[in-house]
Parts: sequence; structure tokens; C-alpha cells
Amino acid sequence: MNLAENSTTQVSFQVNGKEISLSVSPLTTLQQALHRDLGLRDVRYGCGEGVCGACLVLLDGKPTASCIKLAVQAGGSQVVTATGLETALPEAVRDRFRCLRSNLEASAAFQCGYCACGVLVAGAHFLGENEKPSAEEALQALSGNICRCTGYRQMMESVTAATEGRQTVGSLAARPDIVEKMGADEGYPTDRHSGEALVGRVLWSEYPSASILEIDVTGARSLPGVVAVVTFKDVPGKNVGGTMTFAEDQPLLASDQVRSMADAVALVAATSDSAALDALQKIRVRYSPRPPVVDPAAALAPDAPSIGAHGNVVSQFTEENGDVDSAFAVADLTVEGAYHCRGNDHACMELEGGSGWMEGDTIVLELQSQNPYAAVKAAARQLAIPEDRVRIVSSRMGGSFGKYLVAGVEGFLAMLVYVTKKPVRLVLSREECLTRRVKRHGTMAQYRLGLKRDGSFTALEARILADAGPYVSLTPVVASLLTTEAAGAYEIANVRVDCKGVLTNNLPGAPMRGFGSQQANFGIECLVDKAARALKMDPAELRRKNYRKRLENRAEQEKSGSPPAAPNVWLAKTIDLVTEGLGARPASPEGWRVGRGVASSQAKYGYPSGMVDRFVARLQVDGSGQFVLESDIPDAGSGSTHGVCQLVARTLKLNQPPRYVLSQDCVSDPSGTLISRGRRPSRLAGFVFHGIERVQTIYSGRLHSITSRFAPHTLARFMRWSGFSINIFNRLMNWLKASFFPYSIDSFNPRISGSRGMLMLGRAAQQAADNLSKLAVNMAAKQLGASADSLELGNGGIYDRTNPSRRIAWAALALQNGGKLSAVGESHLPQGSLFQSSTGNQVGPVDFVYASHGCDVAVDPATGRVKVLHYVACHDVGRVLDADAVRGQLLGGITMGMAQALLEDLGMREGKVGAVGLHDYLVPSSLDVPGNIDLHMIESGTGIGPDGAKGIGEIAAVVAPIAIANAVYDALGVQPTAIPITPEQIVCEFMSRTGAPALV
Amino acid sequence: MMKYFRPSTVDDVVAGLARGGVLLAGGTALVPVLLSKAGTDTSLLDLQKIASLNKISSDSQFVRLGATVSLTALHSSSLVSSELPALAEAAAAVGNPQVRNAGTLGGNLATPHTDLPPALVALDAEVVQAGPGGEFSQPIEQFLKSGATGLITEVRVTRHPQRRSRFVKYAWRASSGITIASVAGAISLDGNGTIIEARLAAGGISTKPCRLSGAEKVLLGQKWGEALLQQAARAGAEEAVADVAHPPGEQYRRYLVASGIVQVLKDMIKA
Repeated sequence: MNLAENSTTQVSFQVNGKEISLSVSPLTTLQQALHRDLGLRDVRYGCGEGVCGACLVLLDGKPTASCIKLAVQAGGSQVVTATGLETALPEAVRDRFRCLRSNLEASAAFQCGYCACGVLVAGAHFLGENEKPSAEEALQALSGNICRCTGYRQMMESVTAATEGRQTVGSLAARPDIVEKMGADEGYPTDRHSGEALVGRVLWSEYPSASILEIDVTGARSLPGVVAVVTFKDVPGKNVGGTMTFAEDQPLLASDQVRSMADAVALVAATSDSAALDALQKIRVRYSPRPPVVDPAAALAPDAPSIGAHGNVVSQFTEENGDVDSAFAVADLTVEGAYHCRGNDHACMELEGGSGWMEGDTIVLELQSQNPYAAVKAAARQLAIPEDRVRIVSSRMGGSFGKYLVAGVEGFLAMLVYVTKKPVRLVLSREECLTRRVKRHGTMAQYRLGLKRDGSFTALEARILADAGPYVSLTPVVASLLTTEAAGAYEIANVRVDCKGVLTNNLPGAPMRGFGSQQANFGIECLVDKAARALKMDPAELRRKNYRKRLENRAEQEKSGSPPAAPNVWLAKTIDLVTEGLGARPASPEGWRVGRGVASSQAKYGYPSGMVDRFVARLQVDGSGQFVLESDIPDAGSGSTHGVCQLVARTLKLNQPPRYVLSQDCVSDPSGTLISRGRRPSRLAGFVFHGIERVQTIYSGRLHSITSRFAPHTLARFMRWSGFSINIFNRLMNWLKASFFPYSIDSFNPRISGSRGMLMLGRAAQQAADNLSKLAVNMAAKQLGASADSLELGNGGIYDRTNPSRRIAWAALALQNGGKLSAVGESHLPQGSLFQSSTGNQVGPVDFVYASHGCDVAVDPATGRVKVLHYVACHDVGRVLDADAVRGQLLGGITMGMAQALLEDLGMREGKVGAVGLHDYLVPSSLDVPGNIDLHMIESGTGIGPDGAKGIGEIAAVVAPIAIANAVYDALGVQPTAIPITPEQIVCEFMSRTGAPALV
Repeated sequence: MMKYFRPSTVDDVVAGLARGGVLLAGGTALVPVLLSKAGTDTSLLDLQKIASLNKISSDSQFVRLGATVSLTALHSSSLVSSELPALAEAAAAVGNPQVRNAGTLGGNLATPHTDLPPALVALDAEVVQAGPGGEFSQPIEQFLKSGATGLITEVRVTRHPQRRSRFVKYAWRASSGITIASVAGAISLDGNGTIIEARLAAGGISTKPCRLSGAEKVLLGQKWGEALLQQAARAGAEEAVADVAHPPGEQYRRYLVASGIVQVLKDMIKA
């Protein structure tokens, strides 16, 4: 029986005080009725299991997961959603609720904000139930609200203060973005429901590796309600999907092979979800399955089946400094180890997907993307239409963490809209997000470290394998960064690194919060602890002794105008504060073992040398005095665009920050002429620009494909020999772009990644603000008959310092200038080389953040449970531009990193993910985060961002899992060599090796 | 055709069940299943209108718990907390606040791998059901063997002023954690401190809770002591049936059962 045939029932309930009568199917959930049918976008959807709390409403006064409640069950009840709380709450609670809302705003308690409305519901109920609650009760009350971004601290502080009726003061006066996220506007890509939209669904591969013998869609096509069934045969252009930066090896829809569980075989668009599901079931695919290759080491074996066209190694990088073999030969001590990062899910709270529709002959896609240009390019190629007929709209995302740097569902959605010419909504389920989509690259690394008796490091050898999954995607970038960061925070004269990106039949790899830094640092930092143990030396002391003394790319950094940093000075400060903060060792709970771990990291932010990285921003004020900041940079969930607006407000001394607008113009105009000059680029310019990028793509793709087949030492020799010519080529391309496309936006690179939102967009916006203020001051000088030197910004305009009553408002200036006044700013990385010509090594990232973390943990030998007793983190953030936002990023990163060390296990088996929902992929709750995380921020002022700020979005998640692993090592005396560390492993594997008597 | 009914009497529900209806209470377990199975042909019988099922009460003989009493109500009831602490603790251990607000006692009995059944086994509860032939009562273990055949109306537990009980759950995440293993225990001591009643059950390691009678035998008639505790833990871990297909493995789950036995026994002696 088809669900579409279900009888509809009339259901009446009160929603936010209004009597509502609605016709629903018995299987319509309350969440669907509220969000889709009644347009209440404050009732979001995250898991469909009642775990995450994004859909919380008050049902007859009780917090209820509306995703697992049928609408009919709510018949006759009172429903209150987040936006209805204020009026629905009893008078006595209302004030404290207002206080909660204002505290959440003031403390920047949300980043992506997807969980915000659910948090308000749980928080309001808690305030109503408890007169004088404890902090523990508050944690309990919010334990059903999963927040992936923030680590809960600011949220809990807001609740606690609200229970006392206390308003907290944040580092900024107002945060309009957070107010929006606590509201019911249609802000997230999955918020859109249009009445006539078709439902899109994907038929995924049944096997991680198989040949497809036959795809038969005739049964599915003839079903009622099915509008389109699409296979590879229906792709009008090139059947290429995925991220095409380096290779076009990933089909949009599988034709003769499936290489992972993430491969799509067919797409369906239907008038209802049930019809779409029926159609999926009616598509007959005959496979001839093969045993999958799931171990990157096994994929290297000479007789391993070849997954790609040119073998299983898709990129390889080497680094060689000094004389490694001789250094090992004379080393007093050599330690080695193999370290394994198993990979993670990004677990963004918003499900992946969105909507697409036609506007004239243009396909508009509203979905999550950190790289809209690449998405446009891919969609246009697959549909064989010009790029200006595809537009990506993604103003806000419910989390990203790097996931949306690689292509997702945009190709599927574009295809379905193109075929049906109708609006289509395609949103993956949580199970699909977990089991069918990209994961953080798993790595297996073998490390060897040579030391002198006094503890100084003399030699390092690292062999790293990064699990790419079945396609090249962005693996070369990850492999390149793994190589340059393999030595971590340490000065080692003799280093040899070989890193390979390897194809397997696992899920495709994707960058995630750290872009390789977490995996690279995990290996070296675990090994340093092993060395400390061998030397009987304090691990913090051993680190202090070996920190890097100079920044490799100092020259590059100086070019960018900021003072050079000496890493060891700042790293030593971070570890000093951490060891001091940890203090005396805590007492061990009865029967538990206590351990202390530290970790230090030098992790990149921003782009490596030799890449073109340009951001453009336009700042405009209109006749009503409203400021708008425009750029093409989506907010990937960190709230960075809001931070940039605050920066502008500070520069121009505005009371209200400008509104940020994602410029649609930019997205359809990679040459940037539209935003910078307000006119369309000529066809020729667009053609030439794309030509340059095409050449770059082919060249770099070929280079990776060729060099990945070399033996490591041959590659090292090759790079020494050819690094020079690669640099020449790269510089030529960059020069062409820079000279003839002055505002060119490089679609070759993702737009928002690498903790560079504040860094690059911030600098562009700052320049736009400076330019606008110059323009305005000159206009005002003429107007007021004053000298420009005596004029100052402030009081909503420009005034004469010597006579403040002589003043002209921004609005007036704009009106005089024909209704608007605008200025453009840009920021770019200095032009540099990709490779050092003397060594052939990569030049690598231009700047780094320094951090140390330390923690005390208790391990229960009987259950394997690890409790974090005390956590101290210290970061050099360059400059604190917005203390609450920085704090949120760092605490959120620590929480994510801890969970990746202890909780988040994908349960990979034979190429398949075992975790199918948020009930078994364990994103931490408020109760899993230790209450006493001490955070120290150091302002070195040496960053390349505005005022010497650094990009800090990723670093905390890089260091945290290592500090935890090292503390577990200290507690048990057995080193965990893989993350996540499971309690089962601790009990069954480690405890037996510690000589503890078995309990059973 | 999916249909929704909201009967107002127990008799109406019994009649609906006879026609193949499916009971719906909180929906926390059932709704996701309904949504994932396209083409379900069912009549849903929503129990929320039957007030008699949503009561916690006691008389001289029993603590009586209605089938649609929510988990939140169970763990916040002072009667349950004082007389049946194992049940209160088990209810508090399920899911998260919103799941406990919706989830019910009866619903948990219908999905016996959850946290309440082992506590009810340890407490030697009785399950009362209404069927076409009227009301009938079964001891909890018999009920778990046969499954629900009618409408669960009440769970009743004989009042034992001397009995102590405890529940412990192991889950990796502190909230919304899947139970990897749980142990519920109830003991009574005589005036000399000799254990005169011991009931232990393990949950989360199989589709149904597992009574640990070997461990109980170790305890019965003995006086409290560290060695006894370890012996009971060993016996319990050995006899537990751990056959969940997904990780973690059987050996680890047995370790947890042993830890759980030690934990609940210590807590009960302290109490």
C-alpha cells in the first residue's frame, strides 16, 4: 500500500496561541506539520530520532521532540514553538526567559545556530520548572539539545545567569545574526518548502565495490507520482561529479562500476516522498560485487585491484631535509610508532541538501556549499549549459566544518531540476549523511624519531597514508599539508616525509576542521610522548626543548606586512600556561587510574604559499544610512561574516554593524568584474579566465597523476629538478590572473576554508571600510568647508573635531552621491612559490597558529570509561577581535576534538559505516563536556589577519584529541595508537597489557 | 491504509487490538519505525485519552504503575524513588529529557531491550493486561517470554519495606546513550545482615533482559563481603547471555555486567 493513499485526517491544535486546523496524513509528524505545512521554520530537523532536540516544541507544556511525534497525536493539545515562548510563558517566567535570550545573544552562544530554537524551548521550560536550580540541573535540562559548534559553555552560562535573572554582557553590543538564528525566518537551505516542489531521492550503491551489469528503471518510471528517474544515460553533458580540482574521475551517476557506498546510481523526482521511495524500490540494478579494498596499506600491494584509472596512489608528496640516514645512525635513541586516525563524520546539525528551481532559463540551487564556484562549474558541465545559467544560493549553513568543500548533492539537484523543469527539494536523511557521504580522511602513519641523550630531536622519518576513498577529490591538498606539517611544532634538522593519498573502497575523504593538521599532529605528538617516557623526561619539558625556532616562510610573512613570529617563544608561553594551569595532579577516584597528557601544535591557517587567494568585498551605504557589506563568501556556520561586519562597524565607528549580503552577482561571475565595477564581464574575459583555470586543472592533475607513480626518492629528486619549472608555470598563471583580472575570484580554490574567513574577508572588508571612509571624508571636507585632517568618523557620520556641531550624516553623503556611496576592498596572499627550488620541498603554509593543551583524565579499568577531570588550553590567537566568538570557536573545537578521541566512532566495516543515526554516532551532549575547561588566549599580534589576528577556527580540534590520547597513555602506561579510543579497547586490549588481573 | 484512532476506554482498545490495531503511546520507538516502513497498513490506537492508564498509586499490597505513565513521571515520583529506586534510576537513564517526557512504561515493556525491563525483573514486577477475556496478570519474566498479548494496563510491584534496589547503565555518551550493558539488582537482608532475597538482571546485552540466577545463588544466605561481591560478579558475567550483533563485543559486555553487579551491590549495601 502506498503511503500517498493514506487517508487524510483533520487535526486541530493550538499553535502559539492560535487555533489551527490542518489536514494531514496519519504519518505526518508534528515537525512536518509545523515546519512544512505551517511555515514555522523555528521547528528544525536534525536526526529524526529525538536525540538532537533541533525540533523541540512545548506540547502541553512539556519539551517534546516533534520529529518523532505524529501530528495527529497533538490533536487537541497546545503547541508552543521557540518564537511563541515569550507570550506563552507565565508572566513570572517571562522576564527570566527574555534574560536567557539576551544572554545567549550577548555571549555568542551559537555559531551555526541550527540548534538555537530547540535550546530556547528546553531553556524556557527549565526556567519555568525550577526556581533555584543547580548548574548540574541546567546541564541535565539541556542534555537533549545537541550543539555541534560551541561546546555548550556559553549556552550553560547564559542559562545559569538567567535563572538568577542576571543579564550577561558580551564582547559586542549586539549580535543580529544570533537573534536571527533564534527566530523563525527562512535562513537555512533546508528551510525552503514550496508547495509545488517535487521530492528528490537518490538510489545509492548496494556494494562498496561492484560492476554494474544492468540498470532497469522502466518499473519505476511508470509509477504514479513519479516525474523523473535519471541514470547516467540521461546526463546531457559530461557525466562527471564530485570535486574536479585535480581529476575528473568521479561520475555523477555510476554507469558500469560502483567504487564505494557513496556512489549514486539513479535519481528520482516524484510528487511525494512515498512515491519517490516506491520508485527507488522499483529500480532494478544487477551488480557483480567484488571484495572491497578497505585498508590503504593493502591498496598499495602490487596485486591489489586497481580502483582508479592509474593505480591506487593518487597523490604523493615528499619532503627531505638534511641527511636523515646518518642522523639516525648516530642518534642516542630512536623511537617509533604507527598511528592511525580512523576518520570522522562532520555531523553538521542541518541535514545535507536543499532546493533547486528554475528562474527563467537559470537553474538556482539553494544548498550548503563552501565552494559555490566549483559547484556552478560542475553543474554547468554536467548539463552542457553555460555557467551563467547556474546559480548557487547559500547564505547560511547549519554547520559545515569542511564537509561542503567537496561536492555534495548539488549535481543531483541540478540534474533533477534540469530534467523536470520544476522546483525540487532534495534533503538527505541523517542515515544517508552518515553512511553515504564524505568523511574526514583516515590516515595511517609510521613515524620514527631520533634523539640525542639530552632530548633534542635530530631526525624524523614519517610515512603517511591518507585514505582518499575511491576518488581523487581534494586528497592531494590534504596529502600536501600532511607532508608539510608532519614534523609538527618541532625544529628537526633531518627530516624525511613521504605521504601518499591512496584510493580505497571506503567512503570518499574530505577535509574536516584542520585539513590534515589533526592527523599530522596526532602522529608526531604521540611519538614525542613515547620518547619522553623512554628518556624519563617530562613531556612538556621535552617539547619546550625542541620547538621550532624559526618560521619557514618568514619572508612570505614579512611581505604581508606583519612582524615575524618566533614559534618557540609563543609555543613555550602556551605550554607554560598549560602546565601552570594544570597544577598539582588530582586525586584518583577509587579504583580509577589518573593520567596527565599534554600536546602542542603548530597548525596552519589560510592558504599555502604559491596559491592565488583573493577576496573582494563591497561596502555600501544608502540614502537611509543603512550599511551593507557584500561579498561572495558564504557563512559556513562559524558566524565569521558577522565578525567581519563588526570589524567594519568598529572602523567606521557605527552603532550598528552593516548587514552582510552574500552577493549573488559574485557567484555567477568568477572574474569578479560585477562586484568590483558593477558591470558584467565581457564574454572574452570570462572565456580567457576559464581557459587559465582549465590549464591549471589539467596541469596539476597530470602532475599529481604522474608523480604519484614515482618511488619516494625518485619523486624527491624529480622535485629538486623540476620544482623550479613548476614554480615558473604557477607564477605565470598567477601573474596572468592578477594582471588581467584584478578582482578575479579564483574558482580553482574553495571560497571559505582553512580558518581564513576573518583573515581574508576581514582584510578585504577593512580595506573597503578604509576606502569608504577616505571617500566620505573628502566629500565631507568639501561640504563642510573644513580640512580633511580635522574631520572624524562618528555620531552616524563625519564631524569636525574642532566644532562637533559641524557634522554630516552618512545618509546625506549617500544622497548627494545619487543615493548610495560605496567602496571596494580586496585582500590577497602575497605571490609566492609552491616549491623551494633548492630542496624541492613545498614552501607550505604562510602562517601558523600555536597552541598547547593539557588535561588530567581518570580511566576506569573495569569499564574503560575515560573521564576528563580538568582541561587547560592555551592558544596564540594573534589578536582578539571578538572575545566571545573566539572563545566559542576554541571551546567548540576542544569539545569536537575530545569527542573524536573518545566518542565518535563510525564503526567502519568492509567499506560500510556502522553508525546510522545520531543515536549511535556519538556527538557529545552537554553532559559529556567537562565543566572545568580553562582557556587562555595569548595575543602575539603576529598574525596576517586584521590587526595581527590569526585564523582560529580549526586549531583547537587539532590539539584536543592528542592531549586526551596522551593522558590515557599516562594513565595506563600503554599507548593508544588510534583514535577514537574506545572503552572496549581500553578494557580488552590495554588492561591485559598493563598486567592488571582480569575481572572475569 | 493507515488510520488513527483515539479510543477512550480500555474495552475500545481491546476491541481495536482484536481487529489488528497497533498501540501507540509516546511514540518514541514506534514512530521512527512507522516512518521508515513505506506502505504500512495499520490502525493506530493512541492511548493518551485513557486517563486510568496514566496513574501512579499504591495500596497496602502493591505499588501500581499505569502503562502510559511517562518515564519523567516515573523518575520524578517520590513513591517510585523511595520504594522502587531501581525503576526510578532506570527511567532516568533512558534517552534524554524529551524522550523521557514522551516515552512510557508500557512502551518500554513492548521494546524489551530498553532500560526498564531489567529493573522490573529485579523488582519481581507483575504485568497486568486486558484482553478479550478480561484482565490477567503475569510475572514479569513470563510476560517477557510471551510478549504482550493484550493491552498492558498496569505494572504492579509488591511492597517490600526491607527491599533495596539499584540500577546501573553503561553507555558511552552521557545523554541519549545506547545501553551497552545495564544491571539491576534487588536484595533484602535480615536482622543479622544475611542476604535473604537477591534478584539480579542484566539488560542491553541481548534482545531481552537476562536474569542472573547464578549470581543470585552466590549471594543468598550469605553475609556481605568484598569476596562475595567479586564471586557474584564473576558468576553473573559468566552466565549472562550477550548476543547483540553490533559492537562492542561479547567479552567487553560481560566485563560491564561484572562491573555493574559490583556497582549495584555496593550501592545497595550502602543504602
